Amino acid sequence: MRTEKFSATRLICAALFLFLLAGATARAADGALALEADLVSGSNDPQAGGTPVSPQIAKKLGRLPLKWQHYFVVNSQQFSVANGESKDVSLSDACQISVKNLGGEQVQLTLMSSGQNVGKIKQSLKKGQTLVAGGNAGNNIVVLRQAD
Amino acid sequence: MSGQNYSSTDDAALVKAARRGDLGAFEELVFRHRDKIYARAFSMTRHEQDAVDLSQEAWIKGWQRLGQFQGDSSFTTWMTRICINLCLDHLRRQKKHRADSIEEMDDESGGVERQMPVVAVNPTAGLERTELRQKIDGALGQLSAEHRTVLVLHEFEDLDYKEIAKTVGCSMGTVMSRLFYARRKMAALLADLKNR
Amino acid sequence: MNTEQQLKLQAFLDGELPEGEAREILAWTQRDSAAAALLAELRNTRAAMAKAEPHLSLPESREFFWSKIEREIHRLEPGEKNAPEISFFAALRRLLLPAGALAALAVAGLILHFHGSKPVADNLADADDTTVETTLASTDATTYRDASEGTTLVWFSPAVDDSPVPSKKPTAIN
Repeated sequence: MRTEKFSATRLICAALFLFLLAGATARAADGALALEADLVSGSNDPQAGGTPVSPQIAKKLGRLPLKWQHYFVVNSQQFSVANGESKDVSLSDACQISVKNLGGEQVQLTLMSSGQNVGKIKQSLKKGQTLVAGGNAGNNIVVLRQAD
Repeated sequence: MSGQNYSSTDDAALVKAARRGDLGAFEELVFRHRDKIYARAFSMTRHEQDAVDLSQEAWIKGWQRLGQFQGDSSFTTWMTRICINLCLDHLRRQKKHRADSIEEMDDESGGVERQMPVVAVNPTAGLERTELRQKIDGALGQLSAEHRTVLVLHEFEDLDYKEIAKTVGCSMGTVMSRLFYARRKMAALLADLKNR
Repeated sequence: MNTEQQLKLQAFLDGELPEGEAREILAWTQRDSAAAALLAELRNTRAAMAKAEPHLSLPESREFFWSKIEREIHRLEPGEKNAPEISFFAALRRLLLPAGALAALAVAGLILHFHGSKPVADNLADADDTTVETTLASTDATTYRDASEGTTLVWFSPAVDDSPVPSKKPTAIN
């Protein structure tokens, strides 16, 4: 039903919008990525302590199949990674990440636990997208996104 | 539309009139049952606009298929089934863009719900019905679509395991696992909500 | 208590067991406190849901909601069976407008391709695909994506084996 409402006029407007966006995206794709990485602690205790994550992040995390109801920021780092370069970021004594800018708003996140590589994740990280990695760090998870 | 006032006409008579092409009679049916159909769509999708769109689509399909309504069940039950099938199609389309969920993996491997401590005290005891409804609604929103679907179909639509398996298109074993997980997770969520 | 027993308890609660099996489960819950406790929890949850299906109201006025339905019904009738005849020019417009839109999309795609940065790494994942490598031999990775929020979750967990289900709370990093 919704596809039937989609008129040809709307198709043209959408196409023109994409046309303009292609130019803007092409320019952005050449540049560095400004990123924010948060080490977040999950808990079912609302008083667990620490600064709660922003409502926006809380909403995203709340929709994931994680067993915690509340999330608190342990550490937050903002950094920039040039196209083709990597940046190592220490989020805690035992949690480090390495983020490589693969270009075209694609990143490779390497998760490390006490200096030992746990795994590598490659994916798109456009503005508004969020990558959450965890599982080997107790109730801590890493939240990576483009900085606002 | 005939302009006739149908407010005191029963559903069976309205359906009969609608089958003869009386759009006014059908409009009265929509007016009477729109909240219930919308509520079912929302309970499954947890997205207001999707639920509005899907319930609208359900009514249109209902109009088109009036000739197939046999009267074996009530009109609202029949309409709800149409709505549920549309919601399931919608959720399947959404799922195609999603990787497997951890809970789906757990369905096969045995799941973390086995390790959840039993909620010994009834977390909903003493709650006013309105408050309980709000808590149930909040907790439902925290389940995955797959688990919520099975729970809604079993608890609100009174479908048995076999009917749910047929409606959803999965095995009875999967229905039972998902229902078990959903109930355990609901118990934990309701207990947590009570403790706040 | 294993999974099969737990699911049998649930089936007993839901009246899905044959009579003989139901009697066995009842007897089991009378001598096993853990089984009785789990059954009570399941029963409480089921009772709560039976009492309190959320009551929601359609967030649109009667008139607006009906107007959309009525319009669509009229559009579809006489129907899907007999589509109304359309003029040649209307048909041409129907064909050319989407074709023009597709051509614009294709141009946008070409611009992205030629002006976008060359990827530094090989085998770049698709915009919608996540590629995960686990470095530790005893680790599995599960990916979950919430399309509407643009969130991807990658969960590393101990590799599954036949021993009791691994906890979702593995060894702490810190």
